[in-house]
Amino acid sequence: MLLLLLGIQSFYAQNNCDFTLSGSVIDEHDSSKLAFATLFIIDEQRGVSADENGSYVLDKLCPKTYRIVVSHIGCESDTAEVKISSNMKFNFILEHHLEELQEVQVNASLNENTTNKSQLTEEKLNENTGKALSEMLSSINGVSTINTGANISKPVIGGFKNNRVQFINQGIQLQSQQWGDEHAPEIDPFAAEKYSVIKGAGSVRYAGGVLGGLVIVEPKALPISPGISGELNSLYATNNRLYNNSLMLEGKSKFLPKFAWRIQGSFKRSGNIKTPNYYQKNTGVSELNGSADLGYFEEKWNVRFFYSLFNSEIGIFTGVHIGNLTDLRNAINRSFLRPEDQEGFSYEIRRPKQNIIHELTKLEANFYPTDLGKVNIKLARQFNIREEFDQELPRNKELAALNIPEFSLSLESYSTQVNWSLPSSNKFQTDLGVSLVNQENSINSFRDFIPDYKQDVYSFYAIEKWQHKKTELELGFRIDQNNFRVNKIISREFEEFADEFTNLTISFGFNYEFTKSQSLKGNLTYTERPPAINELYSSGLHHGSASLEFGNNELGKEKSSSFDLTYQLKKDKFQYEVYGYIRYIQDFIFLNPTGLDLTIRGAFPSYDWENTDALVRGFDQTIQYNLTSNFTIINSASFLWANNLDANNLLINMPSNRVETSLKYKKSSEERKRTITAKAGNQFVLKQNRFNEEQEFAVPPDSYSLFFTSFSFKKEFKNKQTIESIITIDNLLNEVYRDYLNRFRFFTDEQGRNITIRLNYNF
Amino acid sequence: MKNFRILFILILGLSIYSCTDDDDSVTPGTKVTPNEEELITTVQLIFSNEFNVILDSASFNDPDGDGGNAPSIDTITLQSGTDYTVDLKFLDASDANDVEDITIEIEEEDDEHLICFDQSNISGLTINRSDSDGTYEIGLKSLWVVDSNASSNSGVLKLTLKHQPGSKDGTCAPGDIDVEIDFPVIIN
Repeated sequence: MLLLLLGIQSFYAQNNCDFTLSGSVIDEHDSSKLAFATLFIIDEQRGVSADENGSYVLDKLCPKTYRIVVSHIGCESDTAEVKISSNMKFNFILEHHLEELQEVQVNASLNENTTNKSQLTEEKLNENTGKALSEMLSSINGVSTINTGANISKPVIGGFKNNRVQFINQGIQLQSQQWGDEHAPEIDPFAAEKYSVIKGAGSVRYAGGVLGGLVIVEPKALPISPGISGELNSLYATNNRLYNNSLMLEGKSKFLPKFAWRIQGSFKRSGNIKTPNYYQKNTGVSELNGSADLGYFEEKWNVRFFYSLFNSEIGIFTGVHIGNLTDLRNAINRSFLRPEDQEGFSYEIRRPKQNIIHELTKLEANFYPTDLGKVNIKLARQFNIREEFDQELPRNKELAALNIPEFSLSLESYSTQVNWSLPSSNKFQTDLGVSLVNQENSINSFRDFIPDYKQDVYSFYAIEKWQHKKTELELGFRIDQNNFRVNKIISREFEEFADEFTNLTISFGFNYEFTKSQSLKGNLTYTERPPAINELYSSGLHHGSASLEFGNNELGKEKSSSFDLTYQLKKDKFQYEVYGYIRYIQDFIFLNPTGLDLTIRGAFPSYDWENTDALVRGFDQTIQYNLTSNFTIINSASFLWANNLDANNLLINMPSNRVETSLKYKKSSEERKRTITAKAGNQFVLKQNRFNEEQEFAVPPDSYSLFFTSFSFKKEFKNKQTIESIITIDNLLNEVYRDYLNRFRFFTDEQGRNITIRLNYNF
Repeated sequence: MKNFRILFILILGLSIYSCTDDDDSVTPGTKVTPNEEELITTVQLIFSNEFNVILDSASFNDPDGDGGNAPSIDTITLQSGTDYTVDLKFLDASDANDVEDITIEIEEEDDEHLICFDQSNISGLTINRSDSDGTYEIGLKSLWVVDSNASSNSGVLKLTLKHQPGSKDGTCAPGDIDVEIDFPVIIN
């Protein structure tokens, strides 16, 4: 949000503290007066509200400079400095860009300025609609994905994934079976509008032990002006004949001005994925998602109710189904597709497949008690069902007739969060928060790779921020208490276990702006992560990876000390950002190969969860140069090195180093109200040479180079209507390649050329 | 201050709500009995002569399934110059009081299953499957002919049960491995 100073008119001078500041708060786009906007003088901890016509009066002001926070429903508040020397008129203009959203979590004066936070730009968002959330995020430099085929992907941030990356959806930590590589985040990208990644563990507000980073998914602000508006998204992709449609409607009635609503739904269907040479049998996806958002806004408080349902069915390529190590070795050495895995195009989803449901119900309230700052309360229930179906039905006919999943889990989580932003005084701002999470995991299948358990997490955090001129300092403290109660089957009997972990996070961050164009920020963080349920209690065959995994309830928590540094330079034509990090992790929890274990299906590689000491360091760099007013060249690179210090070898399954270069052309015409963007580029992914030979089934795949291009046309009409059409081509040259972090790299090539046509209509 | 009081009551309410679920026991999921999955824990080879007199048997046994205790594997001992009829049995003996015969289920779906025998470092042993699903052999029954000059030098017989739904063509290539055991072989 931008605050613009319109005009200052002095009337007459006074020498006492009896000046007034008055004016209006105006929406930049339609010049409408923003009713009930709030203005808060930080220095004096008092505030007023604008009236229904957006007019305000602040009185009893002294001749000095005041910092005033102006906020309005659906807007991120911001601070303006106003120098008072007389009775003045001051109009605040609030800019409501569609891509700028309400900071649902907290007020904007505390927005993790000392951490490396990257947000997906509107342009990147539009180029990536229809993709899974993790694939969208991977367009942020430094974020890659771990894939299970082309349909299941998870973000990898600074080499870390799963239990070390947390998703904050609608201000709530996503609770699902995130321990597995093949368990994609259950979030519909169409239900939100702002996606950011905070690299590292520096942000203590949302979760502790986040060694990799945070993915923050935030919804759009509810509408502020009366009427009904909406957005329609429709897309089609040629490779797997994917079609994805999404409709969002939102509005506000003139008769109920304090009440705003939004409903949204999306539907996605795709068929077999085509590699350059063949179709992958049974790789269709079907998704049906919906959400509703209701808000009621009073001057000093507001409540918001949110509900979303995510429903997905994902086919798994039949060619990766393996019985044991012999099958796996045969598959690796096979250069052709087995006859039973050959199929043309089909939308049909059969076994093996996954069925996933995730439901989120949230009630959120904000209070702005006079002189007490701001209080945010969230109550949420999340319910997640994960069903995994094997390729073959049970041999027993009666069991087979039931057609039940071979592995089925349900996870029910309740969470309560309270955040109190104390009134800011002078240069200080304090935030305090508590959260309680209670969850229960039930295994509803015969297979029980992880056990039934209950987990309670009690958390407290405090953030102190100090800001003066060009310097900003932030001190964060968080303590989490994780209590597990586990009911595990051992030799056909239930056995109970209890584990308790107390975890500490301490973070110190700074942000220093040398000049308007240069800044340096950094973060020194110590964080502890308790072992997750799979690291403690998994047991048996991990299907799909053809390996035996054994948890260890003697595991100690991970203790990570890390230092992150970001340098930014923004000149007229030249923009540069480099982010570097080094993390030393004591008792890093990893899968240690222990050799081959004999089973009735032959030998399987066996792994135990163990502690070791690890060292990870890397950097992400982006250079952007405007060649002319229309042409921009962008180069980004991401490099990472990771070592297992105890074993004196390397940490495997780390993303390969990569470099991406693109050239962009953009031309906007004000009078014709249209924008044309064209882009072409190349992504070069190096071969991962940092691996331990004895721990890999096959050497990592070769480096690859992919070309992509996109073209977009956007036209604005009256009444804020816009139409945008985007065509993107991925893997332009139909390259045959495999990626080291795709768990199906042993079995099949990656997706071939894919042309996606998108239509976006805002009304 | 009135708002603050409302807030306080709310937080208090939340704390109570958070504490109501204080039941310490973990409710197991909807599975009725643990480990009900179709498990094969035991494979038996029963060696008989032409008069159906059982001469010998060898078995693989892993009652606690994958991991845990290591399985036990018998050595197959054959006499040179002898013909054997071999019957295979697949059992789920994870519950000693309720041993389930999986062989019946394989027989019911005989057109989806094939048993393969692979020899290494053995000479003079011929194995022929002697049963059929109507089109292809199965292998639950087989005829083993041991020559008079047969020998085994740390020989191994790899027994594989292949599940080949819709792809069975009489060869061992298609399908996935349900059972794969290396039996040591001695020929006297």
